[in-house]
Amino acid sequence: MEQPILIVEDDASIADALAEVLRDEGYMVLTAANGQEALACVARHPPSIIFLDMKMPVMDGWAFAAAYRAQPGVHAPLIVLTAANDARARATEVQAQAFLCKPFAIEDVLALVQRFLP
Amino acid sequence: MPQDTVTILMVDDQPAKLLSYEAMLGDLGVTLVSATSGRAALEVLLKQEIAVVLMDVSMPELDGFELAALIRQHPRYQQTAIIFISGVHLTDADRIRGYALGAVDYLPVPVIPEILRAKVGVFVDLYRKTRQLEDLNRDLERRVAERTAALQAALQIRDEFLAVAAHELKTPITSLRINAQLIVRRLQHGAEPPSAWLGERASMIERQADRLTWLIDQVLDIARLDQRKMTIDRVPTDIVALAAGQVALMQARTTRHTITLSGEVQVVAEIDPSRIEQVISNLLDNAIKYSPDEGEIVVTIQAADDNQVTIAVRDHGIGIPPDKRAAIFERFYQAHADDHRSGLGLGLYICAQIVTLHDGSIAVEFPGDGGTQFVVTLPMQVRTPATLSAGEGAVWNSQSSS
Repeated sequence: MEQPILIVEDDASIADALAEVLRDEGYMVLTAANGQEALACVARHPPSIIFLDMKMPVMDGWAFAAAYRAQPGVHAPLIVLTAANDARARATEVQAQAFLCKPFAIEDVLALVQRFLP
Repeated sequence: MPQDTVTILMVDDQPAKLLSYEAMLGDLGVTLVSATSGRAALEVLLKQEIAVVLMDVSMPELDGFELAALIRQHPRYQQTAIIFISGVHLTDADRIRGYALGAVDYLPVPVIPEILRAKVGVFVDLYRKTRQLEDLNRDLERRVAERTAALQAALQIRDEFLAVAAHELKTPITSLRINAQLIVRRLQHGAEPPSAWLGERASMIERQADRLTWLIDQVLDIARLDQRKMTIDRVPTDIVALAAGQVALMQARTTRHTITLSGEVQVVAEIDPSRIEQVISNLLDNAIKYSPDEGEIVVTIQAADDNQVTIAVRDHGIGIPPDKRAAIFERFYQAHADDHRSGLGLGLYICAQIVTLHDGSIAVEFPGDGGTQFVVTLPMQVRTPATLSAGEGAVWNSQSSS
């Protein structure tokens, strides 16, 4: 089965729109509203890419990244979605492969997906 | 030792002379300490603060000049006044040597009581004034340091607020951008998107625009409050109808919560409707935000006999931890900051300020069965002095609308 792209973002309007864009491009997409939901998601469907918002209630991006990295096996590339000024630092903190600064554009998202899923 | 205590050290190898000086200086209001040798004098100086040293020039072992030189070496006594008493004739060369060693004055023997008192008195005064100046200076330095620290803390709070505000503003902007781009892409792809889908996206955009407006209004309100420029335009208003409008608006935003209105059927009070609407909307927004599991939210309006109306907003949410309750009405405070639940930390602060401008009060209660209840108490009629004529209202209105 095709591996889905996982979007972990507490703002439903952003997560839904991103999901629609990626589905339009033919990708399979799953969304999770926080780190906890995301962990449940990766357990069932190992993702191909994870887009990860950092500030989320229940379980934030830092906690999710730590728990995800602690799991054995192959890890999907992590792309941090952040509104912070120090986006690069955020990405380094969780050993992300890339980051997107809010407010990002659809083209930025698609370019990253194509980079990691050629 | 009290601040104004002044101690004078008298040094002479002849106890009789010490007694006579003591008698002469007795009514100066100072503490007198005696030493019969240079060595004993040094011991006294090590133990206590001395304002003036009165010493015999010729003493066995350690004479006055040698003692003066030793005293001056100590950093604490560099300013201490040293008065020499000399029984033998001193040449100008002797005097100059004495001045070089730190003497400030000379007294010949026989010592005339009035002159001794006058000279010592001058140095006691000087000592007291120097002390006062030092105290003032210390106080000033302390106040400058405190003020600087307060300003730095304020600047840091402002910086942190700007970072939080920028972050909060970027989230709805991201949503606006992505959703608008999504619509454009769908339209470009040829197939006309279903109108239901377009409507959904458009209302999403509208909600994000509302959120941006709300955030920016909060920032502007803070600026108004800081500059004391927030005005309250009082108009007789039915608070129940006002609350009903807010309840309906907020209910439309959530399917997981039931918001109900209870209490009076009508309560007319002289309030600023848009500001009180803002308070109710903010309290309801918090009630929804902090009730992550579906829950009942109740708004109760009650009129009390003594010209007061209360608006209570009760939720059954996560409440506020006891150690965070004290600060909830403070600027920029976020009791649930660790949860990353969005917000600027301004809502309750602005609510409290609006209520205060209405001469009312806001309180928070934590019912035994969980959740939080905010209670706003407002005066129904503004107390106006009995002498005010009907015309005063018009003057007030014209001022407030300007």
